[in-house]
Amino acid sequence: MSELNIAELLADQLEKLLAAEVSAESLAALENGTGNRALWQHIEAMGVADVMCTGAEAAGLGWQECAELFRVLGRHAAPLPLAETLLGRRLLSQAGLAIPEGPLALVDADISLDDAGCLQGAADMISWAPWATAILGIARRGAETLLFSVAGTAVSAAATELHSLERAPTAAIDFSGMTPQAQAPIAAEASIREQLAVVRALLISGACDKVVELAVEYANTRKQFGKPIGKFQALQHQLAEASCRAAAAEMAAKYACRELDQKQPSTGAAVAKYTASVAAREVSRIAHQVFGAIGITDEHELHYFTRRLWQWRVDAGNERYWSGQLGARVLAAGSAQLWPSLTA
Amino acid sequence: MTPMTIDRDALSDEEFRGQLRAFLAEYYPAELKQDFYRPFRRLRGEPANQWLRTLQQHGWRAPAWPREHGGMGLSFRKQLIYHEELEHAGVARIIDLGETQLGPTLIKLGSAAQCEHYLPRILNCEHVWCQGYSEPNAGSDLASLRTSAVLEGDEFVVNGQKIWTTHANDSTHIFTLVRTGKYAKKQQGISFLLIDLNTPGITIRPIINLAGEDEFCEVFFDNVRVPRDNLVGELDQGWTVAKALLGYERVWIGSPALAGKALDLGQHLVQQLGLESDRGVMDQLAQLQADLHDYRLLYSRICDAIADSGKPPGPEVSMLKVYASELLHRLTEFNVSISGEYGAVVGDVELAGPSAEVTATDLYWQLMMARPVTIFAGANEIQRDILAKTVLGLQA
Amino acid sequence: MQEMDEFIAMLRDSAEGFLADFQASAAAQTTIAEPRPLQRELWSAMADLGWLGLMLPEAQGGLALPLSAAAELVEVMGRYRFPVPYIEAAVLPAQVLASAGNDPLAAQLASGEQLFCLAWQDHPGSEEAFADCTLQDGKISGNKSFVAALEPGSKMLVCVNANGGAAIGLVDSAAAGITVRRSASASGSFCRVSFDRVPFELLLSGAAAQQALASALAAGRLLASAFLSGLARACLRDTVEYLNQRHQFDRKLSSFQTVSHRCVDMHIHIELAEAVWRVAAESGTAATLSAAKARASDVAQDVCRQAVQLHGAMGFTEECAVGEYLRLALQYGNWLGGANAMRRQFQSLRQAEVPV
Repeated sequence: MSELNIAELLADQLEKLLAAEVSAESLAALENGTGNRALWQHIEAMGVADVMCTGAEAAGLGWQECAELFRVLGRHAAPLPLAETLLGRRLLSQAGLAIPEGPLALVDADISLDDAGCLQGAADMISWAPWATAILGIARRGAETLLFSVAGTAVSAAATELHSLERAPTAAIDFSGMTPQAQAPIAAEASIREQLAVVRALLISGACDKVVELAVEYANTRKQFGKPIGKFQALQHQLAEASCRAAAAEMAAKYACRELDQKQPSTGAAVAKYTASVAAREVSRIAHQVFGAIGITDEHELHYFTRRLWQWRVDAGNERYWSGQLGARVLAAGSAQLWPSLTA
Repeated sequence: MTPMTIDRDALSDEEFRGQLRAFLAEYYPAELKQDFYRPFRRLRGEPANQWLRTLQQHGWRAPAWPREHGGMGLSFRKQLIYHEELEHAGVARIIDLGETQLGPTLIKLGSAAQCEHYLPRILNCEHVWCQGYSEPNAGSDLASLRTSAVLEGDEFVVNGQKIWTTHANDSTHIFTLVRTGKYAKKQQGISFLLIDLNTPGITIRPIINLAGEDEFCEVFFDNVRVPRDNLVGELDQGWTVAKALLGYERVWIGSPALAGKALDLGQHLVQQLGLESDRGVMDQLAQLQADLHDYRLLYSRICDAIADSGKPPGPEVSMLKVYASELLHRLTEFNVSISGEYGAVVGDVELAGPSAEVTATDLYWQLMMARPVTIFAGANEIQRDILAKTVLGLQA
Repeated sequence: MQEMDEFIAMLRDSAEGFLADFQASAAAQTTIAEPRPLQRELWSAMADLGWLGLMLPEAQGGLALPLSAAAELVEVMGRYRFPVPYIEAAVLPAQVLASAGNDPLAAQLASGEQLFCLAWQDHPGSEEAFADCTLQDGKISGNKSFVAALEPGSKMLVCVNANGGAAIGLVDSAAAGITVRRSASASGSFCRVSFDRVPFELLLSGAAAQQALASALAAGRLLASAFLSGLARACLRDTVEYLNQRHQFDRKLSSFQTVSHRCVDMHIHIELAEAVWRVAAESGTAATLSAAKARASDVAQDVCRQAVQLHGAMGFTEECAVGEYLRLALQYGNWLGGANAMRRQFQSLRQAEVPV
């Protein structure tokens, strides 16, 4: 069996599992503070969270192979820190650090490590931090780039719980003065922010597909003026616009995955997160317009997806941040490089 | 009925503005003002009623009602000034459908007894009214409504369900559109009926919206017996009764006030976050500033035309609702997009930037409260259909 | 006030008649990409109607009407997609001559016997007018860009740098030392003009020259906004008429929501444009004037481009008037300040103005 098939098989298994386990009720439970730890145990036992680990005995699946896995998580608004843990364990394995049991959370803020071995810096918003057994980030010490890990139990005093759009367990943490549990140099294919941006872009593309699907289904069943509202061109065109945005997000995210796999990252992450963030904004806007009043109620399932779209749009840099990055790059390269970079 | 003795319509525009401004400065509670934290602040329940009674005591209540019915009897132009000054003073919005919708309807089409009974109670907030039009299968297509009222002797027996009834849980009464007859044209056979929410057989269920507020309700009617006298206008002619005020509703919904508050915050955020040197952000802001500036001029042009003509607003006022609501969407989204990570926080957030100042706001609440404006009071798609047909003459 | 309203109604009526006749005539035909000289006969007819000296004092042979009346007239010109450089050859030079208080020249302009044009802009996209051309010993040297309505026999009003101060003076366009590079525009042509020691007759200097140019540009921007608003309205009206007639898929094109809703959005934008230029004409601040030009420039170009799309293949042919609308929208939408530049100006001016 080839590796690609393993990835497909896993995505398929995960799809079935989440389809059975995730519902408006379980999402509401997570948001009320009683998350589904049993589901997490089950998934951890499946071994899914380890598949991106590298090394002699690891599955070592690449980004392209795992793209569907992330998209499945987005499609179901999975109430689990699986995306973070997949990436976190890969980073730990690349740095040769031990991989702890349990979920991980990732920090994409600028953190440094001082001469006394203490971290300096803070992160405004870390998804899943309150659940994590360890929180990972990149710290700079002079010219060195180190992956550091801090135990979840060690940060609780420095953490402030936040209400995020996603309503998942989230905290702001000031790491200043903490000593990492572990640290090691890492030569990752891209910065943690870029990798997290690609993960968020994949989640967005999965969730956009789902939202478009829900909106199309609603437009085909909801009747006004004696016919399904989907018969009205004004809605058809909005839905067409939404599905184009969803498709663009998927293409851009997968393009970034290919770059990461080829270990030649250039603009992929920026393009992916920019395109996906715009898609998140537009697809949720259109979905809410199609659903009308029912879509803005707490009892309808739509908001579990649109709130995550808004959240993921902001995580790891929104469209404004990444367009700024892209623009700065283009300017730095100079006018002679513009045409080649557009046509490459 | 106590007629209003003060005639403020006789004042010059400047005197009127000055008196109102002074009154608001003295009497409107500072802690209830709209601010960066709650730019769209609304009042409901007891705080709202208290403020309305204060207006009543000082002769500033019901600007559009004739003075013989206890209102201020203001011309349309003075009503505009009235709204401008409330906006200027940061007075929170109040959805007072008794004053804005039912009162004018009764004055126009109700019986003398109905006016006598209901109007004073609206003014002193003894009765608080909500509007029961939409149903689960009759939203934009309102004429498809099915809640029935069957005449048995001197009473209607009402059965059915209303939805999206704003603040029904704060109200004592509901004015409804109900089906009383079956005709080929579905706009016929609808009647306008007043119902006391304390009548047996009525159940109210609030619906929580995405901003976390229980602003909408479902209202269920199970064999609710309503006196025949509560019918407004002719039997089966309720559609005409309800339509008489739709134009005014779109004028007030089209007010640039909310967008103005959102832009004030946006400009403040740009400064607070040190984005004045970001040409991209400044160009987006310039577009929004120009949009609001131009829209204010269009709004007053159309309002002036209505005031000059002395006629009810025509279908062109659908433009106001479409543009104002979509501008509000764009403004609230701009505010979120320039706020970076702060834009993902739900509830209060303190934004810090290069300066020492910190701004407390709630971007999420604003974003969510702006969502339904393109939907309610006739979705924008419906408004565009109306404009295409009646104003542009595009043929179906 | 009421007298003025009646007068404006008459002015608009007579313009309607004149412009409708013109549009039906062979003279209204324009060709793409060829500079088109001003038709002197037409210009004389416009002089007879009093249009050339509309805002000039009566002593200068004008009608002494306010700017708002001129805007009304020009709005009608926009509705008839009038491809004649009225703003360029009548309004801008007249404003400068009026500021200079030069009765004989102004009278020549008003009667149509002498053509004038204003050469102000030093560089494309720039507001600078008094730097590049320098005056020395009564002669000027330097360059001007986007000079509109430079016709055979025109007298040029040139903005120059006179020893570090501003000055405006008269230059004979036939004089030796002038080189002209001409390109086609919707209303005739634009020229890039180089001067090499060309004789110059001083009309205005210092703050008065700057003030004269500022008032000419303000008038030009306002009238261009009114023209664009009228142009967009007529273009949408023609498009609606086409959509009501044309059938596809056994239905009228107008019955498709995607088509009709677009038209509604265009209509709303035109209403915005009109609301702003009207306020700017009556009582607006400098910020409102910039907003008017920004809005009208955007709206007219957008409406005309969409009209091409909505007319389908027909919109891409020269047999259809849509192309004429679009070319005029491009000209007046980008001359005297494009939408972005005007919006930035609005942004900085509005901060300076005290809010109500």
